[in-house]
Amino acid sequence: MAKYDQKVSAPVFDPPKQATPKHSEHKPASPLSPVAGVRQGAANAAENIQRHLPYFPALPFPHFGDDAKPSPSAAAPIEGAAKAAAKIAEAIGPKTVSTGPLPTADANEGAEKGAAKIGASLGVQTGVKSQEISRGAASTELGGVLSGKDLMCRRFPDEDLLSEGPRDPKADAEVTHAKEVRDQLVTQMAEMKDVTPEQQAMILERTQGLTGDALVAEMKFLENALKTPNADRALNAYADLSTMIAENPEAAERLTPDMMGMLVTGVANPRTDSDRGQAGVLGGKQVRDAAEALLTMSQSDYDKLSDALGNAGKDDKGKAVAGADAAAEQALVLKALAARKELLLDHEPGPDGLSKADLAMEELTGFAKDIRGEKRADLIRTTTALDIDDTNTNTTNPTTLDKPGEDTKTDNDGLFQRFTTTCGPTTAQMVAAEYDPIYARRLHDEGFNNADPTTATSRQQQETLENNGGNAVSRLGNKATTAANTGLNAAEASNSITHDERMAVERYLYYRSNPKPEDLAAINASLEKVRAENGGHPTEAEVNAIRYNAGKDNKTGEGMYLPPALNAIASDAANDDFSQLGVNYNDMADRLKDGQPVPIRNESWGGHFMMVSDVRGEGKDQKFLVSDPWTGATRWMTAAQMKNGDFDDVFGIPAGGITTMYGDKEFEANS
Amino acid sequence: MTSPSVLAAPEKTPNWVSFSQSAPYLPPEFLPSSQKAVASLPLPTRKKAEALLEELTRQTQNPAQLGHVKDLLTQSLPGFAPKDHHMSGPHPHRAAVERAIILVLHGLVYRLAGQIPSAKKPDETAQTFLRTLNALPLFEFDQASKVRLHIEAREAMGHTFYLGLVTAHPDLNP
Repeated sequence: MAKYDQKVSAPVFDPPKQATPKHSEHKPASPLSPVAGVRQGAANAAENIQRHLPYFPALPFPHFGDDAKPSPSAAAPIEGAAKAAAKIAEAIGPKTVSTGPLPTADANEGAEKGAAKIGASLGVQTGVKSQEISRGAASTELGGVLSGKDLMCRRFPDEDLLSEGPRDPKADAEVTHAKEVRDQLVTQMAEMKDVTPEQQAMILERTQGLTGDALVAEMKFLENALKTPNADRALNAYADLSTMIAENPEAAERLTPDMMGMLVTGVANPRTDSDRGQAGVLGGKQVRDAAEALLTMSQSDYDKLSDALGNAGKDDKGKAVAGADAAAEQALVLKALAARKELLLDHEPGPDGLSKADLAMEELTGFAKDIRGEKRADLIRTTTALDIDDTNTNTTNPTTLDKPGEDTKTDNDGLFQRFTTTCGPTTAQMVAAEYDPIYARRLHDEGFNNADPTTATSRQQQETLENNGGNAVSRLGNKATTAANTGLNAAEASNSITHDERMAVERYLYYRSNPKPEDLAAINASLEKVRAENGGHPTEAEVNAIRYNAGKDNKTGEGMYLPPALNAIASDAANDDFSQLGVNYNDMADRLKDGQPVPIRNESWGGHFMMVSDVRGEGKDQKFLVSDPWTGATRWMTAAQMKNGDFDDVFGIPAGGITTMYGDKEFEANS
Repeated sequence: MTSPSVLAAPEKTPNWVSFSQSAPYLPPEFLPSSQKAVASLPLPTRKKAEALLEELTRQTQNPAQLGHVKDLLTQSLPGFAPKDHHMSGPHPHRAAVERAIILVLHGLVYRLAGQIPSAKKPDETAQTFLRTLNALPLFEFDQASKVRLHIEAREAMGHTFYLGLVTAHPDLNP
């Protein structure tokens, strides 16, 4: 009996099939890299980038000193501010001048104290210089805080405040309403156990100092936040921002009420109508990182970003696009900003003359342009790797890859692992995508239903696994063996192919033979006959995937530890180093409420990685939103199911208790 | 002058490797890497693995012994993975042992399947044999190995006989 060819060659695979990127300006480096690969993506439009941006002062906050170039209105001298204070006080009248704890300065006691009082009346902290006042109160360019149609009202621009003409009754009504909201806020906040007493005090301090225009603006986004399922998380973020301003009043220069509105609304507004989409685009962590980036980026970059945010939800003519959601776009741009916090500080020119900051900005503005005016549902779907909607957007079930197009479930359309043991790298990809919507968009460009082991998404999974001691076996290749065998049996039984022809096909598929061209033609002819009798299977992609697996030598799907994958793929975007942590459900819940996805390991198949992205409820009603890279599904698990390891009940994978969770070991919850 | 390498005693090829080598459809390049992987295991694990592999080579009397092999694997494989290892997938020790088992199975399946045509009830024996083969706890992440073992079985029992069986009973397919 003749043995199969013993002389084997190195596996020959088709060159990687790169889907044509929809967004050519975001063409990723190979393999996908959430932020480190910005260089190639930006190089295409390098001519448009302002080169050699001046180095901007480092952490924690920028100096707004002599080197800054404030606008003419912001450069008013202190003496002028004192006069303005008196005039504003007169215009606003005693009813609208804050009597809260912050403005203790007496306007009559000198120019500087007078300026402080103006600041207090317009919603900035005591001690803020005059330029903050005008920026904080009069910024009108960043609309769309609450929705595309619900732009911020500006009833009290400076010139109105300074005039002595009749007051606008509608504006008065808005101020009255804002005060009512502030009262409600105090009442509601007291009931929220996830808003700490310290945070409540900070919020009270901030809001009691608001009057007029700033009061209306901030109460508008806080009123919206209070109506959402994320009210407590939004208030956490608002407290964090308020703290940043209180600790460094110069921060108000950039953390304007508009900017705060975008950030807080990004936390508050649920991503989708599904109960799996309750969390906002942003979490508290992303808000802090975005705010820090806003404060440390160069003025030029800040201005570019502000322009991009101002154009959200609008067409080229500045008209609001129906179906778009400016607030969601703004939140996503700010989320992408948070993921590039560190890059924006690096102004060292690279070999091509572009700094990392240049390239990061190019990505950010390109992304903002790319998503501008996009339908909300598509926008949300393509900026996460999780299935958080109730629509069936992917008819491929990762567990039945041999039956594409037949899946009808609406909760399993997320990113899935392309290989049998790449749950780790895939979990890391999910985490990176939760932190960086630009990266998520790249994953979507290749198609979430694309199980081809040679795509960039697949290659990142494979290389991350194999660089860390694992071995990647294609799931498509595994599934396709059944279809291939069924087809070969049918074709041989019907005498469409001879047994020798079958053996030649099997040598090609399972023994990685490298046939001569004429032999390959014969093999392909046999495969065509097999497909004719077997519903088109094995397809060309399936043949490639089977051969891919045959090229793995004598290895099976070996796994890896998770931290190396997280730190290779997600660490930059998260601005964190990931470590192995003990399982603590309170700690897990705190992280989730802060917007940090929490990877976990359970004992399915001897060890399986998954990701938790949200938590709701308390005590026995507490539930966790878990995403499984094996099935592509995102589903709620009760606390009891989590603790019992009932993953079989929820995901149909082997049961197994949770052994480990992962995250930044430095994290300390507010509570 | 004789070189030291000539003087050194050649390392004895383990019986399970020789046993596996006799299978006609085993990719021969699989053996050295698997042999090395087993040799690299910590000594107690290695001894346990080699004992299991040797035990498998002895299950050659009749096709029904594949059922005993299945029981043996189900009982012993979990013992090759420390429970709290924090990795994904099978533990590397278990993976190394599984790979070696698959190689031994090539030799075993070839021998056992070759006995099926002369069994009292070839059809029933073959069905039981293929169902047991498919159910071995080794292939969840590695279907290619299962197919290669089917090829081994098919060619040993006769491909016409095998084709008739899997056509009549599609569930026997790998």
